[in-house]
Amino acid sequence: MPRIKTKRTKAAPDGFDKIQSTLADFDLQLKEVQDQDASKLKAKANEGTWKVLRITHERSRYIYSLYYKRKAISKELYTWLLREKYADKMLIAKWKKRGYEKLCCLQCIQSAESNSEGNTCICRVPRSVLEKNSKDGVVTFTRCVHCGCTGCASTD
Amino acid sequence: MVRFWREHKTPDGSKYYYNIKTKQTTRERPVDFTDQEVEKKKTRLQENRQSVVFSLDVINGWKLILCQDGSRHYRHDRNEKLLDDVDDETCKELLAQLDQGKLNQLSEAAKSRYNNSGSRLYEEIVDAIAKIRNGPEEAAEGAAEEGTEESDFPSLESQSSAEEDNLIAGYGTSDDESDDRDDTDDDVNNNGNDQAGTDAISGSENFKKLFESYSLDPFSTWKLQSRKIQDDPNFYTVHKDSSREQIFEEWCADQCKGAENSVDAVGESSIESESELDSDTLEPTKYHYLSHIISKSAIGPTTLAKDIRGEQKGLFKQYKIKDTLNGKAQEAFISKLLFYYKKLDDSQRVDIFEKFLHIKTKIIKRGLRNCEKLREILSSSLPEEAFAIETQLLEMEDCIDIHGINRSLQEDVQYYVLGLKPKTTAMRAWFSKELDVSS
Repeated sequence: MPRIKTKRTKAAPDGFDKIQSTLADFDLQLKEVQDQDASKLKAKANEGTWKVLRITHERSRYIYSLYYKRKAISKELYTWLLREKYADKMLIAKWKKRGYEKLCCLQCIQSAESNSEGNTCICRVPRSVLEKNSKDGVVTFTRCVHCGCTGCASTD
Repeated sequence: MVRFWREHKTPDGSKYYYNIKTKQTTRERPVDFTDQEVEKKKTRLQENRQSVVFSLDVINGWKLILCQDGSRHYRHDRNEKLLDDVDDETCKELLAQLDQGKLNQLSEAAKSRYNNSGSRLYEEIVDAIAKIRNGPEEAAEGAAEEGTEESDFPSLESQSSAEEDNLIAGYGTSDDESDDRDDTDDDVNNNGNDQAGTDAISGSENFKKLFESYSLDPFSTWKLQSRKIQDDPNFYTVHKDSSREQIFEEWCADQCKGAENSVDAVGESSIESESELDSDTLEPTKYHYLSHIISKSAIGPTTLAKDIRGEQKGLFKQYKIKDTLNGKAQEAFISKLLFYYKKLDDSQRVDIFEKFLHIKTKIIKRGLRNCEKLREILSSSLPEEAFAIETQLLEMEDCIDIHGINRSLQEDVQYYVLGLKPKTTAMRAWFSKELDVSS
């Protein structure tokens, strides 16, 4: 979530007007998702957060690609966006590392928080490995518990 | 031809006949029923013989039809009938340019329906026609090249029946499909991939053109922007959404680079113009911008200096008043100047300005320099644009050396009682008068 604008908030640097409409659309999507009722089923309890996480991930990715891939925004605007929390700067820091180019969320690489002791999340395992290790080539894994990621290994 | 008699079966399995027109029912076979059957069979046979295998779009709505018996016919879009000849000159010319040997081969292929080379030949000829249509010179070369290149390797469509493919004009297989096929022949695979590669490059170029035609926002996400163009048929020339997104990202990077360059160019030019001004020492006077702001703002009888500073915050920032004057100096000058604006109307202020210049005539003449330039300015008419007017004013000020010997002039409030335009006109009038006297 972006920070709430107050009087003390610094004015956005030049070029913000160009990306403002897209960011507004992301906001709209988030609002839509947050307004939806959560499922009463225990098995689907996490799915509401998955949607939110997906949109924030997309927004982070958008700002990351704007600065690093398209080189469309200035350094000042990029740091301002990070400070105003339009993007998750910890996640972007991971994306710059090799092997983490498509990482879905930070929780998925923290071994302490994983269900299986001492390992990262199953969504980090490449699809090919999952297929190899499974019986008769059928992969039962669909989405991870943390963020609903369907697989974020760099090789996928 | 309508068939009146219908054959049906009763629940116990025996046949009976029913006439749909007269609503007669009979267990005996009607006489005209058999006739119909025979006739139908005959026509069917004929149709079969005449059945269209290849249909080539030529030009102006004309189609070249190759039938299963190997015969060639022509058909126009407007009537359904097959004709043996064309009555269109351009079409005839085009047909004459086509490779006759290849057409003969194709009609041979049409005869033997399950010959696989047919579909390839068909595509070649379609390409050749398109080339002739685009540019008559290229056509012969292109056709010849293609002939040597592609004559010997087998068709990709070998799995599907030729009959099916032939009738579908302009169907291009996606690279996925060709990859998915279990092609055992390596050469075919390589060729296919090469083609896919070149196709992908030209395809992405076309796809980028699509972005431009829909004027997509290069600062937005693919998910949003794709909604704008997804109704266009060309959107589906690229098959995978991931590759579409990739092309979009490339395009965005290009666009942003272009935009940056243009911004740089603008920046440089503005810097250049500034430096030009600097070289001419066209520096504004001390209160130049402040007086300009005041002349622009609405002034009532109760207006105070701080009101003006509050209202015109944007202009203060734009002209960077803070950099040259501190808050106290600003306020002092504004309140002094406000007196003139509140108490006097425009013509009175013009009088004051002229009087001021008259008093200072001696001082001004002392600092007079660049008389030729001043004359030049005076001989030209007053420009239209605000910027040009300002430049002229600054040039005139430069001519009286307002930053050198006559520095005292720009400290006086009375020098600023007019806005830019009236000030420039007043200056011009005064100068022309004085210069005439002096020269």
